[in-house]
Formats: sequence, structure tokens, C-alpha cells
Amino acid sequence: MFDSLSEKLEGVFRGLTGRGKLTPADIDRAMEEVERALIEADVNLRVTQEFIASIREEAVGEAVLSGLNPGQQVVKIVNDKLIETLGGEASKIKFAQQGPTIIMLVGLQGSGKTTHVAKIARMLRKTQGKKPLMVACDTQRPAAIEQLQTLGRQLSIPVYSEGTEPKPPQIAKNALAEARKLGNDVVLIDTAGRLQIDEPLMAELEQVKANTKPHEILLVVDAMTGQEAVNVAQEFNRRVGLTGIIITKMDGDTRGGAALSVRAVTGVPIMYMGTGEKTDAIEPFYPDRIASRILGMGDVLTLIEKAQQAYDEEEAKRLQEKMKKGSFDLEDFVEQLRKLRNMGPLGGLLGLLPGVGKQMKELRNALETPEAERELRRTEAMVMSMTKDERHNPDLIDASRRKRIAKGSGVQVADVNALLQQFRGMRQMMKDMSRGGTPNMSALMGGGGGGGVQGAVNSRKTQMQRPVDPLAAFKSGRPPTPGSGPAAGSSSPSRPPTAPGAGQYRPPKKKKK
Amino acid sequence: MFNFFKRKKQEETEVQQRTQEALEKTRSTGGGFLSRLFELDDITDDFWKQVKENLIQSDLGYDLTKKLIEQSQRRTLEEDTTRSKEVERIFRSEMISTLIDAQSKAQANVSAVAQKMAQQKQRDKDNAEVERRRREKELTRQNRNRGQATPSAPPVAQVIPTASTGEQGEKRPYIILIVGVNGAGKTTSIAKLSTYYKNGGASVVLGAADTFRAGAIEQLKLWADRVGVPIITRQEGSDPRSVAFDTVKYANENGTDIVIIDTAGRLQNNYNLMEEMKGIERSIEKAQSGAPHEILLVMNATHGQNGMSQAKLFSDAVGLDGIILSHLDGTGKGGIAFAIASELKIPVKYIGTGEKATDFAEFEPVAYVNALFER
Repeated sequence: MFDSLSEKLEGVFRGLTGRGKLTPADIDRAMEEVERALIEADVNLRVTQEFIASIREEAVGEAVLSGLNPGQQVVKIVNDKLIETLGGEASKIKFAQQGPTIIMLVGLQGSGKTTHVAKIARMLRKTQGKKPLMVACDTQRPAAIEQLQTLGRQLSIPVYSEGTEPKPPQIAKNALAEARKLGNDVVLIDTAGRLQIDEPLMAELEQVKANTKPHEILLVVDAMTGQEAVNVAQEFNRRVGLTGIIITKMDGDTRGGAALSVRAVTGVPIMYMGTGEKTDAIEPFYPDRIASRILGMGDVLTLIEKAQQAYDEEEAKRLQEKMKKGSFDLEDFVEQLRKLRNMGPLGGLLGLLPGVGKQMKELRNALETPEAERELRRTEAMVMSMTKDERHNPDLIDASRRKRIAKGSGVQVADVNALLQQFRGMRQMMKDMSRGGTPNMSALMGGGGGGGVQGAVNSRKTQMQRPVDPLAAFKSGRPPTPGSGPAAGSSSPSRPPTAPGAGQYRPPKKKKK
Repeated sequence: MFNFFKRKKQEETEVQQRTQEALEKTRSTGGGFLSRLFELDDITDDFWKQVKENLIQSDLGYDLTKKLIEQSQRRTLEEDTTRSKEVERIFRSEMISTLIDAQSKAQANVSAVAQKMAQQKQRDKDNAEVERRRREKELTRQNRNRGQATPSAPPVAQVIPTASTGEQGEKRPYIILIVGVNGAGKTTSIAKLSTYYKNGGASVVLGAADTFRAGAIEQLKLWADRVGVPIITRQEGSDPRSVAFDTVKYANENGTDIVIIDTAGRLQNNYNLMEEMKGIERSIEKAQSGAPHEILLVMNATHGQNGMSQAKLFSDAVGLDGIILSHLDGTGKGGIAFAIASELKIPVKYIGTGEKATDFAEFEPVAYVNALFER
């Protein structure tokens, strides 16, 4: 939906390179694109305007004019400035010198306060060895207390609550006494979601603050928030004095411009970002990543990390051994498929890549189809329908076994044939490559996963260019090279001739309505 | 299309008033918004710049803002006017038509009106109307004293939608599936929607198919108690598809009119969760063919441009019939709804305007736009 700013700026500056000089009008047009990019990313208009005023000065400077590619240089200036504005380093919670550290979470309804109370409690216990106590001061939303209690049970972290009758300032005060008694060194106060213009509730929040004197008051902001983020942050800051910000729901596809807005108007650091529903889905905030995300340039670092998590090194070594011996079996194959899936939807992953806009659009479209995802699942289902022996030694699989597997996984026999052919081809290629001396392990692993996708793409759209595993470069630690799109087909496994039935098209199920 | 402008002030429906009331807070804190701009006598370039800024700050998005302004500028040229009143009229109509386009398309899809039911209820309604007027008067007086707006009487469904009848001509429940991202306000919106239908005379049952989030089932149970409607639940962590199935089955066995099924919040780019949602839809269809009859996306009015992605991807996955714009009591203006209406033709059907079960209204494009202009 969004085109990256770099692409836009390339457009603006196209044909200007030879001229050697940029007119103020060119800069104006470039700045308009910057403005547009920031606003599409939900950066507040006022913040955007100030931001642009500050980069315009730099942009009209010599650096851009003498540059070979003015578009890239503007992007760099914008990117650097974004990182600077977002705050250079990740900031951490500061603990009290003595007595329990009191942390209060505030914010609008539905921003994720309760979930993040639990996330922070879990994180501090795990990384700092703290003994947290969670305090249920949301007496407004039905079952908010039950939610915190459930989370407490899941994590074995105590929750202090007094039901919905007492006033939150009193509950909070009692909770502190309780924490001192129990020896908890961190107290996390969950407050009700409230509008920054809700006078009674804001006054109540001031009361909670007065009664507990928190060391940290963190504003929880939904990353999808629009222009209003500024007013929300400003008003909460004015009323209770924020010390930090948590940006939540960063696992979505939002550009997260709200982060820039709240940081710019409050000046307090963004400490953490929430990246999922589970209680371990919290990460330090990295300004550089968000900057490139706001600009639509892809979040390369996150991608690399995700890929690394899914493919750890030991695993890679084990696989390498297997491949050398030629004992890579269908179980390993399906394992690789699962890993690929664990990294999230393929489309989402590719969205993290830079330069997806141009060279890889076709590839992305092919992979983003539900068919590609479905094909991965079908492959997995087929392998799961095999016996252990069959998985280890696919040559065992004769006609009647194929029939059984097809039945068990709800596919046609032809599909099973196609899978087996594909697998054999891949195994052969692995053997060849390991004999060849310096096999690119990582590309191969990707090939293992990519095989399923490739099968899907090739069998569905025979006209498609053959895609390569987009992650191969990342997994091997090499930086991505722009242009290494579908054309660089050399690393993709050679495939046997198309299996019977593989070309038949299965239209996606239409919604009956 | 612009018959709306012929409406007399006193003919404005209660719905319109409610929308305006909902946006009252927005105006009082948002700083007058558009109308102040139109107090000028003549229109200048600077004026258009300010309009642009205002629209962007309402989350309409860059492109739609530009489009609206260009269209209005063209029309002001065609009509050869620079008088602010004229321009204001033109501009309003451009905004309204954006919404109406999507709205009228959706209205064509509204299922058959249960006429018999409507007649039966007419008398009740008349009584309710008297009561409502009385309360409204009361509230207006209170408001004057307090100097701020409060929603008037609770909204009531005028028409109870019905599903097509079964094979033997028996009555079938009308199934509504509620979807949305985390923290959009689904559960609260369901409480409001069930109140809306219950007060309209329909029997309602809720299905607590958000089995993932801690406390979600409890939350909906509490609402069900407050509203006074039955609820079908299972253990936390159980299969949401079976909850949905059970709820629809219950409604079929008990002759319930309306089924509303809650689902867990999910981000639209999460493949697995979107697949799970499709699974819920399929299990509803399995329990009653032709269902669900209505799939509503709950969207947070404070959300920005990501709302487009939400509408698009949820629509791709299950097909949306409309949007419930929640949290409109805040200062977020929900401008992304314009962009969604313009680009995807998905209408806003209801608005949520507070934390109470009655803080709810049918969406009225004219009133919504007027409220943005109101002075």
C-alpha cells in the first residue's frame, strides 16, 4: 500500500543527476514527498512540519547538491534525523536506591496496559532477578482485574487487588504496604484506560501518583494511533509527568509514526516496544529500526534477527552433517518448513525487506498468495501422514502407501508424487553440492524451505519467474544486495520435470455468501 | 444523491443528533475544526492550506485530503465563486458524498425488513418514544446546568434483521460476527450492539469466542449479565470455532433472533490468526448455512492510517459488511473512515461513544460531516 520514500524521491530527482544543481523548487518537491511519507506513517502534522523545517536546512546544503544520487542523500538525512529525534540509545527502567521501585502504566483504553504490566513484570524477574508485584487498579473495565489475575497465575507473579469497590488511589497505597511486607522490590501499577480529556479520571490518576510516588510513569501507546497521539501524550505528560513510553502492537504492519510524535512532544524516551500477545513479546526500543520503518524502507535488522532465531547455528551444523551424508530426510524437510512458518507469514517477512518495492514485487506477490501458504501447509500435512520409517526413507513409499498418505492428508496421489519428486531432486542436489566442496549451507537450508513455496508457485503459476529464497542472503550473514531478485536463480535447487498433476490449478475457495 | 441537504433541521433524526453529540467533545477540545476556517469572507490559497492541515489532523490521510481539496477547488472554479459560504457547501458535499457512496452500497445489502415484528413493536415503541422525550428533556436541562453534552436516550434498533428462513420455513437466527485488532473495543461494542437489539425487542445471545486473551470471557460474561442476555462460553484456551458453533446451535434450538459472536483481537498481518478467524466463519456456516449474515470490523477512532490496512486485510479474509467506529468519544476523529469508504467502499455502520452499553449510535454520514463543521 505504501511506496517507500526512497522510491518516491528517486522519482523526484530522476533526470536531475546530470544537471549538477538542485533548485529550491526541487527541494520543495522532495520535502513534499517527505511530508507525505511521514503523514502516511501517522507522524503528527505539526511534528512533521517542524521536522521538515529542520531537515530542509540540511537538505539545501552542499551535501545534497554535490551528491551523485540526491534522492538517496535526502533519505539519509531524513533517516539520521529521525533516529536522532527518536532518541539515540535504548533507555532502561531506573530502579530505586532503596525500597521497592514503583512503576505505573497509564494510557488510553485498549492500548495494552494490562498486558504490558505482565510483560514488564516477567521481563524484570527474568533479566534482573526482581520480585515484582502487580497491582490491579483498573476498576473501570469489566474483568480487567480477572485479566491481570489470570496473567499473574500464568506467570506465577503475585497480583494485589481489592476488587472494583475501593478507589484506585487507596488500592495503590495499600498495595505498597503489601509489597513492603512481602518483600517485593518492584511494584507495577495497572491503571484503567482513560481519555486524556476525562477530567475526573485524570484527577484520579494524579491521586494515584500522589499516593505512591512512582519512580517510573510509563505511557502505553498503541503503535497504530493516528494524529491524536500528540494530544494524548502531551496531556498525560502535563497531568502526571511521564518518564517513559511503551509503544505496543509493533508486530502489526503499522508504520508507527506515533512513536515519533509522542517522543517529539514529550521528550521522554521510548523504552520498550510490544511485539506480540504473549507475555514474552517485549523488546527494547531501537530508534534506527523504527526510523526505517517509518520511511517504508524495511526493517532489515528485525528480519535478520527473526531469521536467526528460527535458524540457530547448531541446527545448521546438524543439518550440514545430514546433507553431507545424504541422510536429509522428509522429517528434516518438514522441520524446515515449520521454521519458515514460525517466522510469520511469508508476505509479512518480505515486507520487512528493503527494496521490496521494485525488484521483488513480483516475487512478493507470488509468495503472499494464500495459495503459497496453503501449499506449505499441504506439504506439511502430507509428511505428517507418513510413518516414521517413510519419512526417513522415502524410497519405501510405494503406490499403496502413496494412496494412504494422500487419503490421510486430504490430497490427491499426484500431489504426493510431486512432493516426493521434489524432495528427491533436492536431496540429490544437496549431495552434489556437498561433494562440490564449499556448499552454501544457508542457501540450501533456505532451499529446503523454499522448495515448498517454489513448488507452490511453480505449480500454480507456470509463467512465474522462479523465485529464490529471499532469506538466503540474510541467513548466510551477507547483506542483501538490491537487485538480487528473482533473476539470481543460481542458488535455487534444480527441480525435476514437473510432476503429473502439479500444474493443475486449484482456485482458492470462494466465500459463500 | 444530495437530497440530504433538502432536509429541514427539525427533521433531522435522533441518530444525527447523537452523532453530533458524540463529536461535541471532539470540537470542544479539537479547536473549532473546520467551520472556523469558513468564517472568512473570501477564499485564499492560505485557506486551502489550512483546510488541508485540518483534514490531515483528523486522520483522513494525505491522498484523500488532497483529492477532496482538488475536487472542491475544481467545483469552486466551475461555479465561479470564492465566497466562503458557497465553498463550505461544496466542500461539505464532497465529504458527505464520499461517505454516502459506501453507505448506499451497503444499504442496498440490508436484508429484508421484518415487517410483522415492526408492527408488533410499534406500540411499545410509541411508549418508549414518550419516555425518551421525557428523558431527553431531563438530560437537556441537566446538560445546560453542567454545560456539556451527554448522549440522549439509548439507541434502539428500529429494524430487527432476519435471516432467510430454514427449509421448513422455520425462523432462523441472524448471525453477527465481530472482528478487529487487539484493543479495538470489540467486547464493549458487542455489549452495546446487544443492548441496541435487545431494546429493539429482539432476543439476543452472545458467543464468547475470544478464548485467547486473559479475562476476555469474564469481561463478556459481565456485560451479558448487565445487559441481560444469555451467553455461551467455554474454557479459556478452548477452540473458538466450537464456541461459535455452540452459540449458533443454541440460537437455532431456542429461536433466538440475533447471535453476536466475539472473537479474539488479531493483527491483520498475522497469517495464523487470520486463518483462525476464517475457521470461525466456516464453523458458523457449518452450524447454519448462509451464516454469518453480517461481519463487522471494530475500529478504534484514534487509529490512523493503519485503519486502511485493517479494513483491507480483514475484508480480504472474511469480507466485511461494515465498521463499528469505536472510541469516538475521545479526540480521535476517525477520519480514516473517509479513506476506507472512499477506497474500499466499506461503510461505517455504528459508532461507539463511551464506556456505557448505551453509548452507541447508528452512523449517519451527514451528521458526522456536519459535526465536523459545526460551529
